[in-house]
Amino acid sequence: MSVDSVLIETGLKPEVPSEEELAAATTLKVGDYEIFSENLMLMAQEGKEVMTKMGISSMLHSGDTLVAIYTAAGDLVTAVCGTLLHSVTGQIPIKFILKHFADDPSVGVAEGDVFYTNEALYGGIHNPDQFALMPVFAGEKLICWVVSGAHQSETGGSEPGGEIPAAKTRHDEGMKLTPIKIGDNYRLRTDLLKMMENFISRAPRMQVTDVKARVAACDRVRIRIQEMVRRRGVPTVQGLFRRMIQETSAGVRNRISSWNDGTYRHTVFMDTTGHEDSLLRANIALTVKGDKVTISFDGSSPEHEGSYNAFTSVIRAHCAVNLFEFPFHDFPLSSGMMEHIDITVPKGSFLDASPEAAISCSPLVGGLVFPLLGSVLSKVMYSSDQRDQVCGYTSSSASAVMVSATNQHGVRVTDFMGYPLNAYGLGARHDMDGVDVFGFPHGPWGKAPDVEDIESEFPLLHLYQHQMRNSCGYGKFRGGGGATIAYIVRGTKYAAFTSSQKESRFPAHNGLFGGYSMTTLPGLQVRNTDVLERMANGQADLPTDDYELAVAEKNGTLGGEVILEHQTRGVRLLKEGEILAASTQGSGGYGDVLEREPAKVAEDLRNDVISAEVALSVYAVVVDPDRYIVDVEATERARADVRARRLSVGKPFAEWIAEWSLQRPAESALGWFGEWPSGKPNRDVIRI
Amino acid sequence: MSVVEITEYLAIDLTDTVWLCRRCGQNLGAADSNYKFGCLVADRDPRDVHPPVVEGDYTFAPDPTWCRIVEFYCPGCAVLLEVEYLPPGHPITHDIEIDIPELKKQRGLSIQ
Repeated sequence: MSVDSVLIETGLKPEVPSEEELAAATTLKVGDYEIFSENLMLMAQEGKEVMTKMGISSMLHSGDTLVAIYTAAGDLVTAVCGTLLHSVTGQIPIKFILKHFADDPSVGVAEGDVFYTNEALYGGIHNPDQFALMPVFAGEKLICWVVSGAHQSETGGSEPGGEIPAAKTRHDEGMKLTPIKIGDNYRLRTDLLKMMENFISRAPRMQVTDVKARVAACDRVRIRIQEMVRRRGVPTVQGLFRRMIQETSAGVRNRISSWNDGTYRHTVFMDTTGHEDSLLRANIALTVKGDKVTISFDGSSPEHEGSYNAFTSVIRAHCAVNLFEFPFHDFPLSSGMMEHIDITVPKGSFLDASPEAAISCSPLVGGLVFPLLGSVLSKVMYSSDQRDQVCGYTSSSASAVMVSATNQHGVRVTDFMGYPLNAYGLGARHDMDGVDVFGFPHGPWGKAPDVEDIESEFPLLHLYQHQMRNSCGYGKFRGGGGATIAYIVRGTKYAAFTSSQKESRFPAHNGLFGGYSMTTLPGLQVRNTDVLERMANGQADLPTDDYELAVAEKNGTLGGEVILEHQTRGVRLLKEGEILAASTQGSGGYGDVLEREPAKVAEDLRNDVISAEVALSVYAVVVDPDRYIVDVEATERARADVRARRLSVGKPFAEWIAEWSLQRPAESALGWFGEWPSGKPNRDVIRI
Repeated sequence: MSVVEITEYLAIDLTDTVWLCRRCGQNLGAADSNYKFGCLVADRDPRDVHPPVVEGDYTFAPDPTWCRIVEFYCPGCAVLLEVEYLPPGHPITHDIEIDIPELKKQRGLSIQ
């Protein structure tokens, strides 16, 4: 396998600019940069509109997309997202094509060419993410590239849905196209589209239509750029590209210089390999020195035989998402940012596994970067001018539930459920609560489809879908809550579900500065149930959230069998009338719970954000449950009691650590952790 | 200014080169060391904070045989300075290790 690891590890940084580009950047006239940089973004926006209007898969519509412009050498100039992941992963395939194919007469790069790829080994995330790439020429001169990408919810793998929790190796994951030329002279090759249809036989119409949508987006932007070149000339356009990278680079360098030098660390844990429950550790150490940042993931657990592995490109791209959205959100979205940031991911860890590993669920692994980097950056930024941005960032786990069925209209559909995927909670900030069900951290522009949209397209009926009580992390400021969601199969005999999630035994977010994490959630199903009959009969006490669903069999509110399992689920075939829950966690809290204003606790109780038990036992706030009025004196006494208990129960560090160090987690937790507690590899990984 | 605010609850006094609690001024130890060494510490069953709903392996609460909540309190005022969710016995995190000489230099203070 011809993996270009050097390119993958260095390709996010901008290439050394030519003298011509540097000179062009200095000759821009007053206003050129300000006007035409905006113009380029609008071109990308137009391309995205074209793709969205032409494409049909739900992920393309819910926003897991990108249209971006790159220099002739493949460096990001600007992007409209969609998903920030794709803005950086778009670079590597361009650089690969230039390095390996441009001078190869059997391939070559020419005006009108269309390239295509979905192979994560070439710098991507996972093979559901498919990209079209077009070079843009001015006469004989290559001046830039346009890339459009979108997540495709079917890849022809061993299970439907693209993300395949049951996969053991890359060979279970379906179509993986290295960068190939699928068209020339502005025309797509029918034979290659037929090949894709053959790979994606569960959803051939969706595959081919969405390929054309991506290509149309690229071509629209190509046309617009060439119009700009004709009006303004090549030097202005080249100078503009270079200046956009320079502006980001200078801004990022200055900001890093304002941070306190030092090393900031955080550790989170994942509780599944995709195949079995096991702890996996992800470490981060971020070092600031002068105007440089280095980020290391050393000490993370070794790779394993399950599906929740990633490649280094996945981790790097998730870092870029966090950096673009969080500390450097106010600079142009270009490759200039990465000039000052070095990232190391240990080879052989589950964050950079062997090329044979299964990685279609890698966003679940990459998502660990969100709480990791969010926490250390918050600790960096608190004592800087950026304190107002400090927050716990987001949770790490969306609810990525996929359904595959013949729908009520007789059409075969295989797709992600866009609402739960866009229903993360946003972490609490240093001065306010987080945002409930805020969106999708990979790309905050994503949108969650309405209940009615889902029910008209898929053979599903919602038993419930609303914000979930006790799903936020508690603190002085609470994290955003998640959503509780359950689907009933309706209008088809069978529907297949998979779900790539984590955090059923161990949450992957810590909260910030004394705030608590959000909680864990089980995967819920109800088999052989009579819910449709009960609904038809007007039963008033049907379950309205996961908590009620979990005890529905015991309480007799539903017939059938309630199954609680890990949220990570390989394919589950449900009959009409059966139920699958797809709820989402909230995000972490900020600060000591005893500092939360009692009136805010009462408000949370009134709004069903927390339970009465949490108000009293976690926040130590005494609230009249009928009128939601705080008993101030009783609350002061309760909080004084908690403080006194802390001082009596808490032990000096040396005394505490002596006892703590003798403990060890359950053996069931350490199957793939690595050696305890070093995390060094301690067993063979066998892939056939 | 010789006191630098580092987190919601922590500051570094560059004159004495020590960590301070920002709520009560308690000295939490040398600034070039881990402030957690100067805290009172307790590990808690995660079900104290995240109430379970059912019994079994998956309860809506973290599994207490896999996960503990480690809390670091100021010994002066009992404020909860930091929390870690760790497997039982797992090493704690040295989360903030600031380059003190460089910080002093930036603030125009003597490194000694």
